[in-house]
Amino acid sequence: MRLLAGLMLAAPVVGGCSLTTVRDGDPHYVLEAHKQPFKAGETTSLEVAQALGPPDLIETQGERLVFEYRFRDRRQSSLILSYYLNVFQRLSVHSIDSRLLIAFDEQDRLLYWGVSELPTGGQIVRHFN
Amino acid sequence: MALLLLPLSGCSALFAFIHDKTIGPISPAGNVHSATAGEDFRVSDEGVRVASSEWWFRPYPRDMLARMGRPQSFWFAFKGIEAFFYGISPVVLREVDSGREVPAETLRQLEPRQTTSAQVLEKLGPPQLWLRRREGSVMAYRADKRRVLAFWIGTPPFVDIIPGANNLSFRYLYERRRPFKTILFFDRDERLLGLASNAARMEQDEERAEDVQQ
Repeated sequence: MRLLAGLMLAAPVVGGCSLTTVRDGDPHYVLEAHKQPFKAGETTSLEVAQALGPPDLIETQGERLVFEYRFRDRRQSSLILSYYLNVFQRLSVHSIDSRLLIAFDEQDRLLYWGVSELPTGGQIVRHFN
Repeated sequence: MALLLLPLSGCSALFAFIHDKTIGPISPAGNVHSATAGEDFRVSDEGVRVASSEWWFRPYPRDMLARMGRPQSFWFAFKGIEAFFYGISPVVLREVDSGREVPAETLRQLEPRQTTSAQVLEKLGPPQLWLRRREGSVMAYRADKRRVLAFWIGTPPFVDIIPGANNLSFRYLYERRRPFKTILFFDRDERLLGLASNAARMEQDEERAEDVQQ
């Protein structure tokens, strides 16, 4: 109610506001990747798939097998206050664009894995909330 | 008046080119540059060489009536009208599905060490990917669901309800693309080793539901 009342009071000077959320992919691995005790030379591709879910992309590099996971989430809000001219503008963008690559050797054992720009748990929770 | 004179100004090819590159894919007129400027010329380092003496700066396409009668024109018109209504609609719901989702019930019928790849093919159909390796093979199925909810409310452009406060508006957009993925692992003898699917979790609450695993 307070928000509604505030918006009504601010209406004469609010030029426009927008809220945008675009989420692409399965965030399960983002939340789980840090918890998994993957070990090079031991963990198999089946164990990885069961822990993190199926990958988004599967590639072969010779005899090597590569799993790629990807998740993108973008939240944007903007507010423009105007009275004849724009007197105030605010743009807020929170974005996650993460990838996880996991490679397996010809024996189907984990070779290496790398993850890009995974926020920590607290940041992820705040982002998703 | 200026707009009416534009096609006659000798720059119709330029405007047709701009039209094709900007709104060509959704324009009811379709791609008009070749029809407006002609195709009987070659561009090289030496400049533009006209292959015939036909005039190629035209105020309108030379086969305009024939083009308007083609079925493709109606499709372009439909896409243009659709884009227009999307543009003015205050509430937009879009659902785009691609691929076929693998039912969780069917996955539960598959038994590790028992089910063969041939039986999986019979039950699930051909996969999007089937990789054969020395240690076995991997099958992958995928379907995507895209949902869009857009909401807009505000004053139309150039309408001053409150003097000084132009274009009052609130816009909300939520777009979600959910991949339904299933991966199956087979040993050297084409027996199922195990599988993983995120279908149940994608279908229900993303944070709580469990994956289907065997």
